[in-house]
Amino acid sequence: MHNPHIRFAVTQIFGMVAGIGLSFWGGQVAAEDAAKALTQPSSKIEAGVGGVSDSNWKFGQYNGLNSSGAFGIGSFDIQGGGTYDSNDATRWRVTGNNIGLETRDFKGEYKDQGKYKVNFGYDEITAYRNNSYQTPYNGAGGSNLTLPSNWLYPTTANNLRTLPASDRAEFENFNLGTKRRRIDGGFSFQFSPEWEALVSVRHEDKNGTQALGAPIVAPRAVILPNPIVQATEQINASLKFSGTQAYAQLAYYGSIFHNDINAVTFQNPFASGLPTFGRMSSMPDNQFHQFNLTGAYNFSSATKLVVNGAYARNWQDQTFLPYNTLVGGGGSLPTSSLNGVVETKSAHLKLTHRVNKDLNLSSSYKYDERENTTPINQYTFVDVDGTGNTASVRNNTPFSKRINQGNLEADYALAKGHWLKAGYELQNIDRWCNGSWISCVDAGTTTEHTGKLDYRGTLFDKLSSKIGYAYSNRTADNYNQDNAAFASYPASNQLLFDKINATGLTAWGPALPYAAGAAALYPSVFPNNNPATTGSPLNNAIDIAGLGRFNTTARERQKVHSYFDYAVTEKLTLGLGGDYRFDNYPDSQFGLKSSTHWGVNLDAGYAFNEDTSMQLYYSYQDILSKTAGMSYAANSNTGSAKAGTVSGGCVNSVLAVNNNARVDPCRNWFSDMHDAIDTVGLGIKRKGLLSGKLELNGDFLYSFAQTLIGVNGGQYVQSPKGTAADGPYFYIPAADLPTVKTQTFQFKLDAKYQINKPSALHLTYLYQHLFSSDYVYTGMQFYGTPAGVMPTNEQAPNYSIHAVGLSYILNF
Amino acid sequence: MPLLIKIVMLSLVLMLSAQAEEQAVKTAKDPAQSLAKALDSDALCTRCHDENENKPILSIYQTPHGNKADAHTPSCQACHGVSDAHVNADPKLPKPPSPDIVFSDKSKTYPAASADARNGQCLSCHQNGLSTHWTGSQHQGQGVACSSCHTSHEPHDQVLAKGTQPDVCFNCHKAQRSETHLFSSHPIQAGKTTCSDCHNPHGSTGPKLLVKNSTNETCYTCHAEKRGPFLWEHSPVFDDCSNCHTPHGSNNTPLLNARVPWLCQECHTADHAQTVNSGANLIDGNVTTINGQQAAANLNPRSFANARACLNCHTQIHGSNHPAGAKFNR
Repeated sequence: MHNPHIRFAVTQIFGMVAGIGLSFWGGQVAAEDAAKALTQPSSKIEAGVGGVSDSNWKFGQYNGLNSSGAFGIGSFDIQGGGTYDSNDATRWRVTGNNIGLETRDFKGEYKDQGKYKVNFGYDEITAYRNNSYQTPYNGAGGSNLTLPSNWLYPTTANNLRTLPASDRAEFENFNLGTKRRRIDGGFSFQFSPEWEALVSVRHEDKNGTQALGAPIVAPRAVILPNPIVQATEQINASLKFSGTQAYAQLAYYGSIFHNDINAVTFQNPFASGLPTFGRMSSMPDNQFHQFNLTGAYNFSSATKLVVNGAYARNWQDQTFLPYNTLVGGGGSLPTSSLNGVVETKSAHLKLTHRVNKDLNLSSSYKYDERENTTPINQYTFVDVDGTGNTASVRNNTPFSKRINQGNLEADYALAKGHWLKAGYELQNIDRWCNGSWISCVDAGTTTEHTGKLDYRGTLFDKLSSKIGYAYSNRTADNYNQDNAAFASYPASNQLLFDKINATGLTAWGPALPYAAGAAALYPSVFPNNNPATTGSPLNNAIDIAGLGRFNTTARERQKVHSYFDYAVTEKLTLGLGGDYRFDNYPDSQFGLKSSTHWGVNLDAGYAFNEDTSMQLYYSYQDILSKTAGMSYAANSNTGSAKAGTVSGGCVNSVLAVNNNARVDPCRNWFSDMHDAIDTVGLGIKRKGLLSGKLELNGDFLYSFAQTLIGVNGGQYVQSPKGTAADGPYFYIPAADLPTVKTQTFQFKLDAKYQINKPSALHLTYLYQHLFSSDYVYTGMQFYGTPAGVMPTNEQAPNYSIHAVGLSYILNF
Repeated sequence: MPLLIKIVMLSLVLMLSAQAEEQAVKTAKDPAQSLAKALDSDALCTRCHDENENKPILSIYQTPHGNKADAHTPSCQACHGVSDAHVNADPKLPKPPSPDIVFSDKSKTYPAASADARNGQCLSCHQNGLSTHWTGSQHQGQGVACSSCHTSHEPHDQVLAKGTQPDVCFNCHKAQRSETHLFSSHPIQAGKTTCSDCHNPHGSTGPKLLVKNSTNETCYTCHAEKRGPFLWEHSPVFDDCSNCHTPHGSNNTPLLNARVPWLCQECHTADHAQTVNSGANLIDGNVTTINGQQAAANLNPRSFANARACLNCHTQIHGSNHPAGAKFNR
């Protein structure tokens, strides 16, 4: 030992045993060894073999154990460099994990502490998807998908439920999944104790195939094996100053995304004739570059100011695809590429002050703006590779958003160990589209006030607690659910007026009448203050009046959180926590009306002795979203009075509904989406077995998640024998959806047997059972698919899998 | 923009004043002298707190805090305080007075110092970089101490390792612990994504302690393909990814707040989004009419509610750059 006072401890032992010759030597060596073991980094290499009992994509989705059979176990953690008490400040370390799997990672670091550091890393991340997916397409994995040469069209035109047997035989398995590979590196250099420069880069490529719905001849769709060949480069560079009273950082962040796949072309399986092919676009290349300046100043030990400002520019200018796959591409484009630019500007300012040991004050202001300066152009609307309609023209709506937010907080010690914090927050969000002829958003401005009250402290001996409540109220100015849809049509587009006329509206907005082709009367705001749009809910052009989109409409929010931690004895600790959040949308008759999240958590820990301990927990979460809608235009066939005859429901004929401005209370619907999640965990640790050589860790987990969807309402449908001419219609009440269930049992055992000081055997065992039941898979089968959707025959994952590993660990 | 200019100017003033301060505090240091001094200083403590301690005190020498050749490395007293009463206590006392700063909440010998006092010791060196926004942050406001998460004497600080970090965070964030076991999740349990990939627990300029200025900027660090800008933007997407997604886990793939089509119907009531979607739309659902007859529509399940539902067609829901992609179906 070089540290004289660690050595002093050793010599104390020496003094105590000086009279005992043999014991002296042994004692000194043991003490020095113990001190050395504590002060010098140790290295480790692990190698072995493991096996997995069955193959399943879900089991191995992220851990790399997706295939049955043997796999190699390998990891290392090797460290070196100067000792703590030498003049050598260099340290290095290389690590590797999961070397035998497709989830391997490696890291390396070399530093002269206080001067510079170099590091690198390599990481593989898998995301296996459903391996029961089937497709008839040739070329899966590529960007040109064709049907087999003997493909026959459905016996009933456009109905894939009537695929001939020969076609069904053409469906073949294709494993979906992606894999990311990351390579990163970094360098930092300390110019002086105060100044440091840091640079890091990361390259990531993502390859594989994902399922992608692709419509052709709406509303019919195929589910494509969509190829993914993407790469992202990220760069961070910063210059830091760290003084005692002030510090600052100037930073740059760059992110460059590149996609090798520009589009995916696929053959039309529904019917002969045009379009023979459809074409899906892929995510375009884009770049983001940001400069960030942060500074902080300690006016005193009690007062501190932190400021931050950032400016970023994000652009995308990939060459457009043609409108469709037909000769001529569906017409000429207004521009060859988007020339899309988004500027992001943000500022953050925070001032904190400790008045005295019992009172802390904090105030902050935040400005965050995403301004989309992409030019607006008119694009012919060509629906899913159809022939297009030059009368149907759409504007793009480049959305912008600006947040102004202020926050005040006071944290006061009511008594020793009892703190009360009160806070107020004001958030104002503006949303708009530059160059739009009317407002493109439901509400140009939302304003939210939040009040918060928190208590934390020790209620009585060994019971620490946290309880908090917050109330928020958000208002939305001039809310109109149709703005976005209207803004997407050019002001002069005849189709807009056709659309409005079709819904029974003769005019809208504050001034009447509004003639086709007239100049835009309301260039900035489109208030929803016309009696025609605020009266009956059906006097509306696009969406139902009364719809409130939850992210921009009025909202009341209440939040409660609590946690109690009780050390009952030195061995037993108990924890109880609860959270509650209720969002109410008072102006929303339709859309999301309310959501409630609540949960409880119970934890218990017990230490039997120094070697044995146990942790047990139970969590319950409950999420309920209430949504409402109205089928205001469905089944509006008025071809003949007979066709519209209704059996059941609220009316005698469909015509009666239309005569009542399409109002029919029987077609109002309500859905309650309810997630209920139970989780139980148990962990046991046992050390000191077999004369201290064996250490065991066991973990049990049970997770049971249910999604229950209750629906009230109904719809009118024809009987099987009914025709449009003959009717009648039947009213079918809505029914609840089958409960979606996911049940996971998991048991993990980790045993380490120390053969001798440097060597150990490591046994790992994992059992996982997954039961999942989800009705959506019914719609993916030949027998259950909707007529307009190509089945994929994907199956819900269900499995019971054992994985075991045995490895040798060498410590040195 | 004028506000931004003001902020930038203020920051520049701070940097300049910082540089002036640097000139003032610069002192020459002899490495060998510093090392000896540092070891001597520690020895005041390690003469008692040696290898025989129950807690492995000396293992701090394996960590950056124990690299004595680096002049920045703190001594025991730099963190625990000068602790005169403790150091000079009568050795005959069964228990000497407490050191000035005790970090462990679980110490059976001495009560921990206040969180502010403990944090003040760490911040005296670590106030820049990741900890810039600590003061006034959510964790600071909840009385969290650095030592609540970090174990600075341990050679392998659990919260600094990707695989073990979530277990530290789950000590308080119990709901997230449960969510990571759901059917759809990020690879947190597999140790490939960790809390600090998205959150900076020391404070940040973003919501929910996110590492970037906004939720979306944070998500784009791994999902840059969804950044655009796109020709056709979907307004809730640019607004906030969390309008539709919940990041820690969900029973609704992929990490959705609710199940499609009802998730979409929370905002859309036009065209085919107006219609009720229920179990009566399933091929094997409840399809009995009031007259006991099965409806034609139920023999032909609605594509809007089955399989991928809305996403059978509107797949480019994060935005489309196709000139015909106004409905996110190209």
